[in-house]
Amino acid sequence: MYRGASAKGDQSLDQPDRAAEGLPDAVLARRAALGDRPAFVEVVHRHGPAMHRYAIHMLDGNVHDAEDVVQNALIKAWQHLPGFRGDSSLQTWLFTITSNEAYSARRRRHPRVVDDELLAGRADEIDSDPAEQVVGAELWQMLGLALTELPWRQRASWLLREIEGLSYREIAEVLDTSTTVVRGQLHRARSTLAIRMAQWR
Amino acid sequence: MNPAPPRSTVGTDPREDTPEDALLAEAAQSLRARVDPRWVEISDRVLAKVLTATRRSHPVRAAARTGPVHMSEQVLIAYLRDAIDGQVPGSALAGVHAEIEGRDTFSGVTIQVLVQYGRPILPMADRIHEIAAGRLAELLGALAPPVDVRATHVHVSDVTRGDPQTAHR
Repeated sequence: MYRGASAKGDQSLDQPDRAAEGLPDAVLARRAALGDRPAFVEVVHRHGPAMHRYAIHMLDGNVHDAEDVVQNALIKAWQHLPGFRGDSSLQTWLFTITSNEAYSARRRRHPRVVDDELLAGRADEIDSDPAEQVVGAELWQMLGLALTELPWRQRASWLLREIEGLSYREIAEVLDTSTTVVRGQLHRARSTLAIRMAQWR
Repeated sequence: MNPAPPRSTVGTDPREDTPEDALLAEAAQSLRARVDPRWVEISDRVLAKVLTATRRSHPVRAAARTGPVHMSEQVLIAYLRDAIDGQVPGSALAGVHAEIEGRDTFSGVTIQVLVQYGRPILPMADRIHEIAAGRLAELLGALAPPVDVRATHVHVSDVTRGDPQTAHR
């Protein structure tokens, strides 16, 4: 019996291959591109939580939309892995797909164009109602609420940098922009978040 | 490949020279440290759906004793992966591209491999060629014209310092 046939019969496909657990992302991507599902399962276990966290914050905490976004992103990743050349890291590539899916989901919910610049001062102008929501909240909950007030690119830049640890170049790649723009978005995001957090505290 | 930086380096950018910045840094740290209970709840469901997704694939015609049979190009790739990847020391399969003429006529295959730097490449290529030819004959049967896996179709696409099965570059 072929190895592939026996593997499919003996091992549940939704479980990662034990041998795959310590492998570099690039090796997992190579194997998954060749149709190795246990390698892709390990990719999902490794990167799925961060993709989900990112999607939830980009979609204002809507867990149902976030689940759909991550599911669609992973399906696209599986289907397009044979074309993944490794020019960027697997993590960056997955965040790019997730970001695009989240943006599409958001546009379906709010089909209107919003300029980041127009919203830049919104956090300062907003009334004090949200403060009532954060009374007694944990710090991370306050931050989650403050993030919903940020424009899309600022929020994405901040999450990818401060929570997921991507470099400016990688963030620029995910958001299809330049590192200069990312630097500016991060600066504004940090200022707005810091002020809002202090106000609520 | 740029793996995610270790957690200790995440969040080092924010200015922490004001109480507001320090508060934001503390909040970011608490968000990073938090395990997402929702993901634990949905991951099995998401994975089950993802694993039902199929890739676009051409049909490949095989010649069984009782008549023609069609199989997905992805099946052919999977069998070649199982036959070649990890079977020739110092090499790893990087890609398989089936060449199909017309609707479903198999005309050849290009096999991309990574090899460990310093290893003799030609004997590895010969071995991969033999394995692939044998497996293709098993899979596709006695095709007319015969299955062609020319030596030029074993393509060494990159070299690695370590074992390409477990190392990258």
